[in-house]
Amino acid sequence: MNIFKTKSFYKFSRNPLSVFGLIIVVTVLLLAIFAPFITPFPEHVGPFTDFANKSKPPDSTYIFGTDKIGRDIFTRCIYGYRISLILGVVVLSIAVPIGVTMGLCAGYIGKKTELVLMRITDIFLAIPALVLALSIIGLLDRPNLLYTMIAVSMAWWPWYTRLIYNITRSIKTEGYIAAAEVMGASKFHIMFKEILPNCLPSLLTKITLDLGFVILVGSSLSFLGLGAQPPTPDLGTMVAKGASLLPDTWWFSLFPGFAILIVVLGFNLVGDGLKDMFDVDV
Amino acid sequence: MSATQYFLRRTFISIIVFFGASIVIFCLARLIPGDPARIALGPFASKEMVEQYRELLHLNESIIIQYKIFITNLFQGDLGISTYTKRPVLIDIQSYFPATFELVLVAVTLMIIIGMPLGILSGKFKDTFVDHISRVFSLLGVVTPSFLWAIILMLIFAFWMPIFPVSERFDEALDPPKLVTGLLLIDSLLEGNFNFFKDALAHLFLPGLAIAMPAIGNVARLTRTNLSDIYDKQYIEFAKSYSFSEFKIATKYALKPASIPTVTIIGLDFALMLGNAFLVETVFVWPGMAKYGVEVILAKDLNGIVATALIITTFYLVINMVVDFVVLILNPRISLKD
Repeated sequence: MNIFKTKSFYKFSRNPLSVFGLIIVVTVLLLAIFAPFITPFPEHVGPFTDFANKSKPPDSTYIFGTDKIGRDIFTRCIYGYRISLILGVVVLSIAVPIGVTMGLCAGYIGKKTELVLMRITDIFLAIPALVLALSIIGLLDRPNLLYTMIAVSMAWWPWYTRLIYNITRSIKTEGYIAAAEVMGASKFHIMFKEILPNCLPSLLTKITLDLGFVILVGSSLSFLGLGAQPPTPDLGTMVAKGASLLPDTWWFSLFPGFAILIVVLGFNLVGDGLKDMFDVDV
Repeated sequence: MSATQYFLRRTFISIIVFFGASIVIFCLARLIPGDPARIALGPFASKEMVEQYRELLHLNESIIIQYKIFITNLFQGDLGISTYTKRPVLIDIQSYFPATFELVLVAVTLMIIIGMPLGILSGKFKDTFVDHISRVFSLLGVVTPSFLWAIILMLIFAFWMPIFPVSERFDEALDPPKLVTGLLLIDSLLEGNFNFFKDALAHLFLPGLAIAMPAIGNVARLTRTNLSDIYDKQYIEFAKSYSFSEFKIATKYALKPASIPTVTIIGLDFALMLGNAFLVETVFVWPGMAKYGVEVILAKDLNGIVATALIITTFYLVINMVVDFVVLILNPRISLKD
């Protein structure tokens, strides 16, 4: 089956906003992957200094300007995308399996399992995500990228439990589940081979939307100084560095800030397109 | 189920969730690898000092006993001593929390008085310029990090067009009113100090708006969909056939049911706004929970971190209870059924 000829893809491609989002996402991905070949000053990523060109406003050589020690902000933004995308992927690869498994168990097995698992989920949902992530980082040793990833994952899985739980509850009374039960299929088989495939459209949509939001929360944490540590080019850290120097060197903060905005916007638009395409509610 | 029973049940559930959250936060604080005493005192503290500190925090007891001590102290208003400020955590929180509370209240107000009219307008003028603007606005609101909103608003309205003050809660040149509630707006009104009231309000506006930005879009989008759903209902048709004025139909028949989902979303968005307050406060040098929170986190102050997380969670739980009761008043049918 050619995916580009399906009716759903037609629906997706007819929405200019979704296509725009897809273009953003693909561009950002390509930029991040080929960063060493695209960026004008790849050597500016690390602890490089060039005091002759420090704090230069945007011009034709340095299109986003340079920072306090003369590094090209455009180059650092593109490399910052690498960190952001890795963060998004790692966080979701931890949070999604945990959330999905718990949601399937709570929804399908029911009874005491449901009660215990869903109460735990509710309790985690009662603590605002950013505050939970902040406290976890605070309690771990020195802040670094790995801890940020762990902390955000811990705050993110309950949403997947909720989502999968609701879908499981609504489809577990379907005929094909009963048929599988009668044939003696194991609980594991029913949960992961019968129910999970039916959750995939919602799951895929939510993952796409969340990739953007995880990047947003990750950059918020590094904005507070609790993410990747310098000289790693992290977008949130770069915004924070500039924020205390407003308004003179406004380009320190604004360009990395807009870089975050654009990638979140891209994933959000694609996610919205998928939502319409699969006709699901997440 | 009567309203009183509903009230009691809802309170009971919140209390259970509160205990659950306190267990989660407490366990995180104690089970995370590394010795909290060693982390708090730093690598140069002597063995005896660490041991003494462990004794002080009851770290040598089992975790269940530790939790028991923690929760008993909590109900006596004792959250422990902050290793960072060397003061009781409760005193610290009393001085920082009102600043954040006031800011979030202003943000909620802005979210309602900007978001709802925007939603009504775009519902009324569907698929016109106003509608497109409000949709772009709500999309941008959600995808823009709130620290970026803070920076943009600050650059435009405090530096390039100096309409609003740049940072802090009030102008140093003015005498602050006597602290009663800790909320500067109310305290200055109590004293009849209108000059100070105006100044405090001006300081609150930009950070409040930056926090409200992501939520304004949500509110506008929701109000728009709900209004258009309700205008399709038969009772509106009926009211129209009685040739009631459009204003009366809108205010008396359409807006009340349309505002229910909006009130619900306020409860949900509160978590978002409390998180965003941390970021916006940092930009505006606001002396609130965020400043305290980040400082205790960087200082590895165990009691401070646990208390900050717990206070914010409690605040969020209380707000959600209030929201549920407001929804109940707006529509007595929904919640009492189950």
